[in-house]
Amino acid sequence: MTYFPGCVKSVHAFTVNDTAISYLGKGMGKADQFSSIFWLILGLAVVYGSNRLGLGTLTHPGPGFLSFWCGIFLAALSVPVFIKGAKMRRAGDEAKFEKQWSEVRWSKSVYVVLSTLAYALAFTYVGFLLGTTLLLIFLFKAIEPEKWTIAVGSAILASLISFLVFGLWLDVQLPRGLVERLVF
Amino acid sequence: MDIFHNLLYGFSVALAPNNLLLCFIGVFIGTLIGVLPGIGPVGAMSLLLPTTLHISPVGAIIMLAGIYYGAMYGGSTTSILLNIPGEAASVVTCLEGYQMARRGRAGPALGIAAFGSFIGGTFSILGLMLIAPPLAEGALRFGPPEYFSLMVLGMTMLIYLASGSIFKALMMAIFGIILGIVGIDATSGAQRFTFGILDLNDGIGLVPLVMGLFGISEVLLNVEQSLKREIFQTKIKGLFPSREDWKKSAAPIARGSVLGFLLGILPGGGALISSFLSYAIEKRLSKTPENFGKGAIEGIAGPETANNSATGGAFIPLLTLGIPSNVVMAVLLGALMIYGMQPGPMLLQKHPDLFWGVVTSMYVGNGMLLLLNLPLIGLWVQVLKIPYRILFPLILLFCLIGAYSINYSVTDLLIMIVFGIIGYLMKKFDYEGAPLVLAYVLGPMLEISLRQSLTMSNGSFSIFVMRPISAIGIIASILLILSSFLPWIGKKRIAIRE
Repeated sequence: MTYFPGCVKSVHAFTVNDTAISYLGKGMGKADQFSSIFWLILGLAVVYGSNRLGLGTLTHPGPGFLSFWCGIFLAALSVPVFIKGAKMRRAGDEAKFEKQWSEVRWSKSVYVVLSTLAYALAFTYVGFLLGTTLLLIFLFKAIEPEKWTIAVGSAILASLISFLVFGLWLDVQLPRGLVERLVF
Repeated sequence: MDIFHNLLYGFSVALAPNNLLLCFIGVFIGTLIGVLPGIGPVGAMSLLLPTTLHISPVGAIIMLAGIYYGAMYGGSTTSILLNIPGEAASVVTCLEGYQMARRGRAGPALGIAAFGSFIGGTFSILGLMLIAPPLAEGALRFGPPEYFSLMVLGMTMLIYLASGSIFKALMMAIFGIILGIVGIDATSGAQRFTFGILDLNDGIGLVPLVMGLFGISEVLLNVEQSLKREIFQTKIKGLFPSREDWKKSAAPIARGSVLGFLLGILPGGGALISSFLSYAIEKRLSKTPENFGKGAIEGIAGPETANNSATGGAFIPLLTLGIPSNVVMAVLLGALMIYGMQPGPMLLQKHPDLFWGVVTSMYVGNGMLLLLNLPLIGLWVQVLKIPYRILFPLILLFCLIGAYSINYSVTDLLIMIVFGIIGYLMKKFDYEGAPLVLAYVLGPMLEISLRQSLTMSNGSFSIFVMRPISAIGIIASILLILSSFLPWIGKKRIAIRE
């Protein structure tokens, strides 16, 4: 079971309905190969960028000195990860990685990402109240669909309370749209 | 007598009405976070970090610290009642606590968890109070090479203790350093990896990064699953452990206090490792080890004490050396720097109100938690019944408001969402976030120490091995990394993790 020490616990290993996914680094051959290629490219890009910044000298290291060596190590470490991934693929142990995508509703995560991106780009124009209400209605309906009355009612209530607490009480400068100008 | 006067001063800060209220808010939210699966203390601290910008730094740290040790208390509730760890460090409590609940002994299980946590927390605060001041004095003699090697050792220990591939953990740490470097270089004025985006001149913000990595990513992972929770249906009665329970728990509590405190000080240690080690030790020392896994109260008393004791120990390297020992402390370090306070040996001298105020507030906070946890069990059980489909949009909203409120910048929102996606993919591809965050926070300081050391030594790396403390740090780091490749030690590392 893998989790971030001291911070977030993963519920995935403990669901009562037994869709537990083990994060013990097994069955990740293809995934390791993909990710190691990504890190290799990133490492080389950082090396290139650092070189352009200037490495300086050992006596007076330049702005690119530390990142240059970080890039080198990042690229170098991607090699053993790739090799390990290749060995796992040869052993035919891909069950875990496939499970992570086939046994879960990853499209729901995509909906969440797209809706929050749209919110981030639009809410400064439409205002906090309208933007937040629309976002919450979407989330209440798109993931585990609630009834319309509950979705709309909860969305409006949560947006209002958030505006009162953060916008008025804590004085956070939330974007004001038409609704805020009319009501407050 | 000096300590006595400092304590009195600290209590005068901690018992000020606004700080008392902030302490209560912190421990209450911490307990709530510990009870609720889906977000941990780092996520909660990240969510609340922006709101703390509007209050005093001392009050802010009191509240954030309260969230940390409060979450340790709250985590045991879901472990015992639901067999789901509310917090990572409460995993072992599931093993014994749930079994006790099944036998109708949920009350004493919850009770001993609360009392053990209180005793462990109090012990660690005493240790913090006694050890920190002399350590801070000694640390005044540290120079850039010592700081560099201690930071490297801290990151190495966290990498060593990470589960999964050590190569991947190393890569995360290096990636974290690179992320920490983004922005304008203070020495040369060069723009590093900003790609012309003005908002990145000050670097990638800590708050959007951790909120994305830990808050948003967890939401993304949880919405994929259909979580069905069954709360154990039992009347919770008799929260006070019996005399027999106390007799069995006394020694584990004592051992857990010391173990947790010592492990909390060590970089990479902390609540998680201490709770696991405590469980292993109690099982080894028990006269009836066959009872473990069937509801042995020692298996709750020791680990719950240890994980709370570790919280106090973890503050020592942060407040005296300015080096966080785990990712929670890394977030606190980032918070202190946002408030314009540089943690380190000078903190005690320049901001005694912060140090003694936080230490004494932990006494107060632990007392509040003992009072909160036992009578409010019923409330926490009701909270557990809130469906995740209602909770997650609110968590998301909180993240969005929090990230926006720092600089009123849409760029921060986008950074948070991007790191949410990165955190989600990291978990899917089996990469850990803790080394990344620790390295990200330490990266800029690491670079400064490295540059200063090389300037001092005219470009020679031998400075890191010629100075004793620095040499110990570097050699220990190298040995740790090399040892993980030795088969028999590698197996032990896996055993610790599992």
